[in-house]
Amino acid sequence: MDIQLAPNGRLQHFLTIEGLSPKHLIAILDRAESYFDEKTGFIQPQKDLEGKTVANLFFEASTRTRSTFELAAKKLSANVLNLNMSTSSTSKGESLRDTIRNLEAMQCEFFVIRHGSAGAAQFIAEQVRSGVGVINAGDGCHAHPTQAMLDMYTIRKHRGPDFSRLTVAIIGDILHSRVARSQIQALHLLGAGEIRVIAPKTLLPAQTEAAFGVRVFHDLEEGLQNVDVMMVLRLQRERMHGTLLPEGNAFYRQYGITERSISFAKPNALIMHPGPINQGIEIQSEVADSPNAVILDQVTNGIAIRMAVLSLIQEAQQPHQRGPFA
Amino acid sequence: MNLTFQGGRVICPATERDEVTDCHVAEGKIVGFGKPPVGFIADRTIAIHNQWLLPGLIDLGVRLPQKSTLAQELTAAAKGGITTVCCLPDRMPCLDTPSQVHALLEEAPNIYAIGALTHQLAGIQLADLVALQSAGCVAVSNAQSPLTDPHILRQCYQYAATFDLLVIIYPEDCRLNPRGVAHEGIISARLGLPPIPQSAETIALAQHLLLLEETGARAHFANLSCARSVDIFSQSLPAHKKVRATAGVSMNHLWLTEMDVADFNPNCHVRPPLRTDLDRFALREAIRTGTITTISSDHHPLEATAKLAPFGETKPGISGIDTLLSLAHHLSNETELSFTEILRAMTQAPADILQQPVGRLEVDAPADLCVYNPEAPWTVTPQSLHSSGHNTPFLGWELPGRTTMTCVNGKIIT
Repeated sequence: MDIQLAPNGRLQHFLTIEGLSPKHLIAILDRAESYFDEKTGFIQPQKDLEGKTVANLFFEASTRTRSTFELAAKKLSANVLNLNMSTSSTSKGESLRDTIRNLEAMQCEFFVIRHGSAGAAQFIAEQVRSGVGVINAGDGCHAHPTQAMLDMYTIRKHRGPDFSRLTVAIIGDILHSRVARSQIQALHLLGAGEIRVIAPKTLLPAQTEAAFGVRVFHDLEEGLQNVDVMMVLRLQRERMHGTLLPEGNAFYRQYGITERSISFAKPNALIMHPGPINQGIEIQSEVADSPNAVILDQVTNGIAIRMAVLSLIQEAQQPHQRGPFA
Repeated sequence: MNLTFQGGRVICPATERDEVTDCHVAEGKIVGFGKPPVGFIADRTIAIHNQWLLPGLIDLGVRLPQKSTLAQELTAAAKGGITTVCCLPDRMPCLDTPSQVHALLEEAPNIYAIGALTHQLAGIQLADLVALQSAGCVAVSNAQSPLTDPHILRQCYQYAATFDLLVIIYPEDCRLNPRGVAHEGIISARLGLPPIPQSAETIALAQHLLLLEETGARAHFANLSCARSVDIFSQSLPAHKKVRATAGVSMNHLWLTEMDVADFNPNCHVRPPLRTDLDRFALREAIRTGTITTISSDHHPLEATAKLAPFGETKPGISGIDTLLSLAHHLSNETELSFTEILRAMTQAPADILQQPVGRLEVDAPADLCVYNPEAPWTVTPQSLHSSGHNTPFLGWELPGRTTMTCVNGKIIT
């Protein structure tokens, strides 16, 4: 989607992985890496966004994503405005567009938006004046690009930069997962050797193989053979309508990531989860706490990734910066 | 006023006329072609060399949602060569009583009103169909508020069959697309848009066909959108002669596909949804084979704010009245379909379905006609549209020609 890119090719919004090039992704990963102190492993505060204001507009509940965006903005020395939109004036009938106009008038330079409708972040990006950056923190079932990037960061950190050697399996509720959609696109761009999805047909979008260029498995044991990275998804009960799954623990029995099921994958395969975890529903607590699980590392990396995205967009807003990539 | 249209190419599918000739109009009727009839003296001769003289179009599916924009929409229709606008009942107020129909026809006498099949389109109680017919309705429909209870649907068809009323059906089983906003396929999968499977249409279509067969009601399916619907419809016809049904398609579905939704363009949010390339091909092919006989604009003008939201939160609908004829011409240039075939689907075929003496250029027929300049390319822009609704995905398209004059009952109206 062209709207994400400034005329010079730099990121001016971050709405979806689709339409970006591998160079954009690697620039984000490298920038994020640069924020970590090599010795301590801590993220170093920066001045990149000094004097700027980042507005967090969350139309859906979020703890992790919102707080890591907040931390990321603060570590870049930005002012942060947290707006819980479910209780703000949009629920009093103010349109999304009017809300954005008002926030622009308050001189916010960045909007981080989470919204229940696919395409919401793009819609806002189309509405804002130039020089304002929009970052998608999850729009319906469409995209969650910063989550995908922190996942890529985590994989790169633990498995190195060559994704072509990796077989990655995404397990669970693909249908409702904006995370999975963005992960798949990012994995393709970074050249992952093989991308698999493992789920029952009720939790897969139409024509998954053709739409996403992945291998589909309905059997967990078969799908996990020789897998290097397992990306477990949260079952999004709140988005499920009708009867996508049987009652009780049928999903866990068939698709749960347990000590038994991880034995089908390669030894030491990475175990990832975007959180929040439903223990005993999609993943066994012992597995989530095991040495190969990098779930908390993902959270930390999320701060650096979100700093990197904010910082790169901030640079694209500077008219004198040259070159397409950081 | 006596008119002579001089030197135009007269194209009339109903009479299979396609020749350069003069057409003479007196007292609201066509009185002759070629040499003027004895005693005919034209008050005005309109030279239309290098232009086409066509029967005015009959648009089977038009929404005129608001009283305030009624005149503007009818002007837009006329500017687009449409002389017969069939107004669907889903407007405010709903066309479910004779008084509402009278009120509309008083304001716009040339409209063909389509009455509501059920009270308030709620699908619970029959509207007074006979009274609606007496008030001037040419057909009845529940428009895009599909009935969910097959028992009630069957009763509605039985009642409509009793009085041989035409029922216009938008086949859709909403239970199969809860919250759906886009065709279930590659694009909705990628964009994470709530999908509408084709079975939402095909199951409803099959159900309607079986009930029509059983009740003998006469029906027209307004807006088929997928290849499977064409299959099901065509299979039902020869095998069950009792089914008295015809089928139509919107111009939108003959041009656009799910791919047009790929950038979340809210102007492509429409019901039924834009489907695949294969579906589009099948719909075009169905026009050629005659399985689908009508093409409508499916005009649904919306205020700008209706489309100013994320895709799924926008109102579905496309404003199509301005572009219908130009897109038809464009279609004949870009596909195997001939202009005459396409024109038939907007003139003779809907007239036959409605059993009205319009849609044809012949002596004694009402002089409802339009002059079309096939060599007047234009670009669709908000400024070029006469409808109040600028919600069209064809913005930016270059179309090959446009209507230059429209006549209703022998009166030049634009």
